[in-house]
Amino acid sequence: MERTIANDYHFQTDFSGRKIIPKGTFLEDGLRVLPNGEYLPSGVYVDEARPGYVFIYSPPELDPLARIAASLPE
Amino acid sequence: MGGRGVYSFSFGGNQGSSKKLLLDNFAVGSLNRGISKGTNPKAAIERFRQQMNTQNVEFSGYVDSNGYIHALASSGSKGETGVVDYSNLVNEKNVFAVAHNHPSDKKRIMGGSFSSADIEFLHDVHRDSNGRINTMVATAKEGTYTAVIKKNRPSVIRIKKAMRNAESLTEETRVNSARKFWNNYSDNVISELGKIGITVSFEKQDNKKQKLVTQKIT
Repeated sequence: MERTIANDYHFQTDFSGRKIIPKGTFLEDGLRVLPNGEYLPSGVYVDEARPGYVFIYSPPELDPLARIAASLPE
Repeated sequence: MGGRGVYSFSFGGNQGSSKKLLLDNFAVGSLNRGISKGTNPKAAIERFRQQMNTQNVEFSGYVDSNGYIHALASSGSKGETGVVDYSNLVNEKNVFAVAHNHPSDKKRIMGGSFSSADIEFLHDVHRDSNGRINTMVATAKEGTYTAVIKKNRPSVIRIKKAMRNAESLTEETRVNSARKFWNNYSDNVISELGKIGITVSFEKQDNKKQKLVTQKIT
């Protein structure tokens, strides 16, 4: 399934202004998919299901540079 | 504070974060091994690097000025780093840096320099710690990348713009190998973040490995 990256998604934020991963977000092939069916964009998030942590989310599958590099010889 | 050789983990914060960490924090175990012979932050980061060179997912830990690693954590998933929220470390007065690893694999031959999200995290933890934590470290098999907010913290908007510039410059440059591509990206990150007051450096190192011995804290 072709999915887009949710670059314009309106995230709720916590007391520090950090974006909260919405409830209903799920994993698909190692990537987080928002309830609206779009990919969670790279960024810094908190997850109410895992309190006490901050997540630096930056999967290579969403990184154009990683795609270019993967196409080059070593 | 927990014993440094074991957990080195304290719960002193009361800034909205739960004191009950549900999962994914680990005893620092072998990361603080050998410290009785003396240690310092550079040695701690190199211990972290060599032990994380054996891992295929990202871990994070806080580093203090005495050379100890604290609050080892991992989400256990590729493509993301779980970091213990700073509010749980407010009693660790000497922590100044967050280290994490950039794994490499067949698809990605180098760990590479910082992502935009890495530097956005540095912004947040610098803010939350009132500037006490001003350093972000990314370790990789090729060496160690270090980013330091020297004085004034730039806004997230400026950070994102600088990182977009670094990415665009890298995309525009034609190179004939992935290694040159990532080295070029590293140079562009150094240049673009330098323009907004974040000093980035890279130290090339051998791909040494040490066994990581730890245990999940339940």
